[in-house]
Amino acid sequence: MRRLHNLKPGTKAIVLDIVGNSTLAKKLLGMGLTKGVELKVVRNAPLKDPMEIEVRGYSLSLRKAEAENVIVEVREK
Amino acid sequence: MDFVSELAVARYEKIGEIVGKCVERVEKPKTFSDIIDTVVTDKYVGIPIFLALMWAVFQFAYSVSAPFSDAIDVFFSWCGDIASGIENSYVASFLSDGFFGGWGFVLVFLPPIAFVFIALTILEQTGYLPRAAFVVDRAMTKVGLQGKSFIPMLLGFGCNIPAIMATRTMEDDVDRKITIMVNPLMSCSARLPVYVLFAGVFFKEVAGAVVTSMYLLGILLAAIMATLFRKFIFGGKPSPLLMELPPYETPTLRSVLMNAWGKTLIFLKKAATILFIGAIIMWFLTTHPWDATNGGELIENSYASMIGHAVEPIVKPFGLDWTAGVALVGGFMAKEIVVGTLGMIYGVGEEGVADVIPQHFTPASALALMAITLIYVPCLATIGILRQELGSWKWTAFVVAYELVLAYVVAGIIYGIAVGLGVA
Amino acid sequence: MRWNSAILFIVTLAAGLIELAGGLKGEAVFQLFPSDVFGGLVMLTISAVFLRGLTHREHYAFYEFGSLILLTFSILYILVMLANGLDAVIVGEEWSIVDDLRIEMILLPLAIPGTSRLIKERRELPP
Repeated sequence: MRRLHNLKPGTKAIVLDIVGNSTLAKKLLGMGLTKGVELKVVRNAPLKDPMEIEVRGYSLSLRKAEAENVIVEVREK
Repeated sequence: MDFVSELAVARYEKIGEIVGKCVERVEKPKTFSDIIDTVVTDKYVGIPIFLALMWAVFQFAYSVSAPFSDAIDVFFSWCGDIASGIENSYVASFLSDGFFGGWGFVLVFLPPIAFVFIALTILEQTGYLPRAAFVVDRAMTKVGLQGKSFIPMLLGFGCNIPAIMATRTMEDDVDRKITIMVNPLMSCSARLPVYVLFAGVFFKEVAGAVVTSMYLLGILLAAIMATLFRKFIFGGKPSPLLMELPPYETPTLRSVLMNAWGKTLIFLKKAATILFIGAIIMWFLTTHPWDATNGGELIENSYASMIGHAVEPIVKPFGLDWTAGVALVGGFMAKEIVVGTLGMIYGVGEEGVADVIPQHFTPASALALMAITLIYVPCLATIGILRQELGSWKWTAFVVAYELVLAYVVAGIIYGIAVGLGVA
Repeated sequence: MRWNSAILFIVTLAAGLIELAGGLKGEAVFQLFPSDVFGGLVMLTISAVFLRGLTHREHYAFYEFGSLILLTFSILYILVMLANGLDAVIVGEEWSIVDDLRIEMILLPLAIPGTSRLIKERRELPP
């Protein structure tokens, strides 16, 4: 089981679950990180945090602490 | 899973269904945004580019807007000069120093506000603003703030009024409140003349270092207070930074000007009245009782001076006397007035102040006064804008109160250390 | 284009160092290079962008964006100059254009090829 914040730029993955604090989970869901959606890690910020991912055809930035709540399955590197 | 989550999933399922019917996905080609992002989020030059662009915003907001502010200032001084020729000296004083002086005081803030928002709207519409937050967020979260706090904090070095209005680019309410509340600690340009005067007189060779350390002290205190506020007032949790990084766009002149005008209008409609009333009250306090001040000429006999005297016992432990108290009361109007007020009290004018202050201050008490000038209360105009942007007098009063206490504590510590080291 | 980047790197590096040196010393080293610590750091940043482009896979991106920043500052300093001139008229002070002329304005033409390439890409590529 991998978490989003550990993935390297360029990695593609499928969202398996959102865990943790429910307010944050709702916000993540609201931004389109629902179960089964495919995402790609684009890059990390210069100070390694936050990270940028591509999901549902748009770019989303989120902090590593937030990405930690997204359980993913890696598809390809 | 709860209802809200189900709803989000169902909504995206429906979206997926519709998109699937009408959009054909091909392998995403290289986009214009990819090119720009490669540079502006680069691990080596991303942060320097961000800082360079912020410096451009700062220069544009303050240097380029300066002639417009000066034109407003000159115009109202001219009106005031005409009004001061009126026979009845009371009416003359009210019109020139109160009415025209007050409007001049309020309206000089319009150009920097307009220019700040022209620059911010350009950054926002091009799409760079969220990238700026993306690049600097990590550093800012270390001090209780977040990426989007950076620009308002930086603008505070020019003037806290446009800086606090610039927090309108922040969506999260808690983050925005904290950013507003610590913004007055960023040492605006009006405080510089005070530092320059005292550092120049008492710390000749190291004056530059003393002035710089005042700025650094402000930054340090802002970082500490932001951390404390987040921890003890807002429950300690950082607000999430989930934001879209939209494709880059070319801004249009029309939309930039419309947006800047809209923000400037907010200032005119809401804060301007509070500021103007404040200016009239300050006119009253510095010129009354009318007979005792000889028609507003002897500020040392005014109500403002009485307040200054009342303050003396409080600041006495730091080696400060009533003259500093009166100057600080005057500085409430606008902090650069501290120097002018001292000149008036000592009867030497602004140019002669440097020669006489060694009689009233020691190096240690000068340091205490500089620290107090940095921290003590937001100036009148800032209080007006705090009320407007925080949306309540309660929060505004809290900012004033914490700054007073903080000023007292920090000045005490600095004075104590300075005396201990034998600076006095 | 690597040549362009290399030339711009050297020019902006030199300008940045001279401005920075003047800023730290407290007086301008040469005419046209004001004593300006932050201005010097900005030029060094621009030169770093060109330098980074020299070794980067997408070197043209750095060349173009570096040119854009250079152009931004050229225009900004022209605006500041105009503002200072206008201010002198309003306040009634003496002002000479020579005090506000600075090297970045003269480098403006060098920023145009890169910036126009950027504009062309803006039109041709998807956003």
